[in-house]
Amino acid sequence: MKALIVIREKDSGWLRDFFPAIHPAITPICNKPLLEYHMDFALLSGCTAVRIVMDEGGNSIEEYFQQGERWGVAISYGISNPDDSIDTLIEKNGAFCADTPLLIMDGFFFVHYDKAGDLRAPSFPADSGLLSSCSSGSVLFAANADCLHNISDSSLEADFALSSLTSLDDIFGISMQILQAEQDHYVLPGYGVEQNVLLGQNVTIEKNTKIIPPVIIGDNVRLHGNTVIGPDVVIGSDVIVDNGTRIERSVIHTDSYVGRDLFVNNRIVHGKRIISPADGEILDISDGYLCSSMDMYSGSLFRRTVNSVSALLIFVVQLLPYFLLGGLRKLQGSWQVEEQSVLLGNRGESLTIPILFNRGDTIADKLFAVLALEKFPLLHLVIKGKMQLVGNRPLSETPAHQKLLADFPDYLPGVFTYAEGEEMEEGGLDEEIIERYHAANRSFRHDCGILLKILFSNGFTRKTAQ
Amino acid sequence: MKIDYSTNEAVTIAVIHGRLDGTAPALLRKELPLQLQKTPCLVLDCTALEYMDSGGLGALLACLRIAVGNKGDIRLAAINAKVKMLMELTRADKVFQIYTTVADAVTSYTNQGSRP
Repeated sequence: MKALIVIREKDSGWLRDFFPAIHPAITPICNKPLLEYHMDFALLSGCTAVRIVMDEGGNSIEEYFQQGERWGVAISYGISNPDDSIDTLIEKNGAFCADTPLLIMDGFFFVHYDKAGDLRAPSFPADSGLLSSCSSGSVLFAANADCLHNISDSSLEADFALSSLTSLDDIFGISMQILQAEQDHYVLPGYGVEQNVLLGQNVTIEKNTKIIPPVIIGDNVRLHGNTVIGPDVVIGSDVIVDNGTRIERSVIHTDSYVGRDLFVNNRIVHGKRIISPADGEILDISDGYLCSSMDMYSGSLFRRTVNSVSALLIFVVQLLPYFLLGGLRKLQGSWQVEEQSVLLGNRGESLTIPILFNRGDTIADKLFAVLALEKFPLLHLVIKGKMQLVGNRPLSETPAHQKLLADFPDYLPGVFTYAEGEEMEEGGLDEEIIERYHAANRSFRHDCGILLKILFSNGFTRKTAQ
Repeated sequence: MKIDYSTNEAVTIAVIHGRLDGTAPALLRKELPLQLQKTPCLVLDCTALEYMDSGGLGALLACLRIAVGNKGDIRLAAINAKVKMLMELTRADKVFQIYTTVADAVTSYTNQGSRP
């Protein structure tokens, strides 16, 4: 049997409003991506090959599942159009679907099963199958691709059940349901230290910390003193919960810092974002010490030090010409500055930065451009560690860019950009390719080369925009 | 951020507009104690309060200390969902009395008086 898993943006795209950096299909449920439950279900059903068909960028899915070595199954990927029917998808994946029983999982839902149960080869006539559906999708076992239309809904006969995923509350509810009653039904990451407590690797629990089951905790988690965790709590990997904080009936996503003396109840914490699953209300915390993303603290010390020292040097060199030429440009009326909110990473963090425009054709304007003085107001952000000296073009905070960053994990905004180093025009596919290429290959030496190219080689050819 | 004041018998109603973050908390720390000296019982109408960060909350707590010291109180009315979430997260909802409407908050002074 082979499995065709169909992921459609129209069914799952709503989730991007809450977690822009995560592909909806790999939204964690009890520290395990939703799609991995599908994968496990397919394997327990006896599938030997799985094809994941998506209509929207799924680099993160491919990165996670790769070719399926971890699951001992051949995983392949296909693309579809948003409106493709199952018949069209079968036709497009003709070679994969030919001459074999099929399991088709189409939609955005959670499939409840018990790994101890007998899911293998459900019995159905040779020219028919088994269909189970919910409002947001269906699971279909078919004897072959030709008998899809002979199958009627037979949910009651199935050894599994589907739950629709149409709101954040649905996803939160499923996490709670697994925590409270279905932990034994699935293969969940972590090891059980006592009934209903699953711990990952490298979990540090300080003195006076209280854990009240059921609780699931990921890898590399630090629970500081006097914290109370549980009941009904899922904590992802790379999380710090600071002193005196109480968390109950909540989900803390990977890479989150929860500050001290807080009370988190009935919430999803996603980096600096706190969400009420019941009504979808989002609170973006601006205070890093209340809640924040752990990404803020990542990056090597060497890189940050080099960045800061280099930025400081450029700051000193540019200081005098910036104020002299800047003053002159203001007098000439060619000084134009705009504030723009830009994304700092793929977890929704943003920063407002001043953008100086190189408009005008006077000697002062040209000198300003040649000396790259429009970068001067941004250098303090590098010194503070908020931006890179050399990095990607900062993307403005728009839903489209947030979506783009979901599949661009290497994005780090820089004062001097890779596209500038390659003298690429802003916007368009070429620039995106260059930015992604350099981001994937960044190193200290590589970034130094780009910086020197921008400052010295390109500086003489840099022109002011008209 | 902007604050408008009106007095209803022995209670001052302060209507707070905009965001209570960035430099706004400093303004609040400066302005509100002056009002609390006149009438220590204050209702903060948060209908137009869009957002508050921990700095804003800190300023409110500082003012609450002054009000309580003067045998008064600061009661919040009509906070939005975001502010409510912050209050719950920081457990400030246990420190401040929060009411759905301004009228309820004003009436509470008549019914309960200030803090025991």
